[in-house]
Amino acid sequence: MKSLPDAYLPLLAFIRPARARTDVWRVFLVWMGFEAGFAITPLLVSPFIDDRWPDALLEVLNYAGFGLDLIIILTLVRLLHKRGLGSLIGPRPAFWRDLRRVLLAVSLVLLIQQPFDLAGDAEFLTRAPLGHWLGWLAPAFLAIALQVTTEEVYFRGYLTQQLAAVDLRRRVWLVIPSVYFGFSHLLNGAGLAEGALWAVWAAMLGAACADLTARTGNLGAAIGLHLGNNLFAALILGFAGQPGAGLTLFVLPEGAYIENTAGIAALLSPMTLVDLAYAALGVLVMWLAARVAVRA
Amino acid sequence: MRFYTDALAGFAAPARARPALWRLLLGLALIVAVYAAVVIGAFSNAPPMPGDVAWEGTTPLSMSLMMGTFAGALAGAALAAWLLHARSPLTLFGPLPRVIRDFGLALGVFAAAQGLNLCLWAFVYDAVPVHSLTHVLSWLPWAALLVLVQTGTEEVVFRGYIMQQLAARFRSPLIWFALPPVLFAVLHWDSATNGSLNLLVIVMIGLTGLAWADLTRISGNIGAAWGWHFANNAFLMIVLGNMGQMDAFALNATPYAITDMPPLPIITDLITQVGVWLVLRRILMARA
Repeated sequence: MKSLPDAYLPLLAFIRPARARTDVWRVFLVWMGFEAGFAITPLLVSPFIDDRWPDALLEVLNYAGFGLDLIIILTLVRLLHKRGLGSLIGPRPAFWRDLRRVLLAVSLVLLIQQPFDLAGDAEFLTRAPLGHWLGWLAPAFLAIALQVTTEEVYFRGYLTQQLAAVDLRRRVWLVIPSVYFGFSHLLNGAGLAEGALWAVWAAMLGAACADLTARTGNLGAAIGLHLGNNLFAALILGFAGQPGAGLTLFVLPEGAYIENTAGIAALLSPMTLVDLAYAALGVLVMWLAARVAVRA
Repeated sequence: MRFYTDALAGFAAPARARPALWRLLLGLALIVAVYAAVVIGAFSNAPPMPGDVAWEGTTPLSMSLMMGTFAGALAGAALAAWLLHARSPLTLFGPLPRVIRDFGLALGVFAAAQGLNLCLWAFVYDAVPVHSLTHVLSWLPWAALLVLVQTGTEEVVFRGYIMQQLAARFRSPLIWFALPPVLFAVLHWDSATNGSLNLLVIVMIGLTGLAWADLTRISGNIGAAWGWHFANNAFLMIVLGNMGQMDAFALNATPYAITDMPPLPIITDLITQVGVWLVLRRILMARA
């Protein structure tokens, strides 16, 4: 019986630390604990935060807040599986090497794509003050790196390892965490239709990250792809009046874009198909670049 | 002992993974770019400061900005090492336990020599009080951290990154040994501040840079150079500063500006520096 393609053999070494405790109830408890923690941390943090602070600061704090969730995950995994961060990210030298290679490759791809993405709206774009953007660049970079690391440690580190330790079929360790990852992006959009597009896109990104993790046997490539993607998404183009516009270099002023607040029924329009195809192509290109970078 | 010591070979070993010259040049561009970005970002988000105060270092805020933004160049060097040379940023320092040991050693030797120098100086000149002792003491931890970051950045870039990458690529000491201090000295070119003594100041800085390169060559880490550099700058910024220059944390200042520094302190400073260099290289050679 051959359940794992040859390309995914590095996955076996990656999931070895998960083999010690494979009971499904432990995964269930970590899952519940994480969701509860994820719901509670904003309530714990909000008394210390003033909404009148500058947008950029609030956004950096929002990203950095994922650090608390990382602590929750690490605590739960320590308690229920008796293992730590090192076992969740794979061998250290390979981790840093793949992270470096994929981050460079994906950034290069996005750097080339970005002008074409922006060109269509060029006449409406306003540029944020350069000093402001540069000043927030370093804090934003660190906070986004923390956010991405948290998500990857949970979805591609913990869940992929534990699920693969139970069942090596791809639909278990690749599809389930990616669909779960997708669903957790459902509230990202203004309306349900936009949210659904977000979710499908995130599921594709998750699948690409899980695939890279299995091909390389560490979390470096997945974090590199996810980080490159999120950096460009968070720091280049924002929409005035919406969350996220405080850190971006370019801003599309209010009135120059249409907020898609349509319900789920709007998904049946041809435009959503175009949107989806475009999003899928974006993920595909990043994934191919990452595979070239890690030669896997 | 060969001039290209085994300690230096070990120090430069991590640089051999990706030694190509274009990577070093791209890395230097990256350092400059990150530093410039952090400087522009920090200064343009800081509370407004009147006129030229921002770059004079006469208020704690302007000193913090001037010195703290060096962290940008440090981050740039770390990024260059990791992204372009496939090496851990920690290898820019050398083996860490030795870095700490040699840092302490150089700090101690410099403090002793400069203490002596200061006693002799005080026979001839009267220091001008700048800030109260409580002001200096309350700012001391922050000031020390700023000097640590500033000097650490310069050592990591010049004795760490540039010297390692050049030593990994070239055998000739003219390149790996002499080039970084010359570059270091030229970057301190500031005829507006230093006046007619500019050339002398540049030569002194170049010679000190050579001494630091020499200690790094012998010990195989930046600890001794960093400790000396740190102690030197901390003395200037906290104990006895140059009149009217970067004195936000200083207890005293010289009664003369650096533009008309008399010959006597120039000579005693030079003797002190040579003495520190000779003592340190003797100790480090005995250990090597």
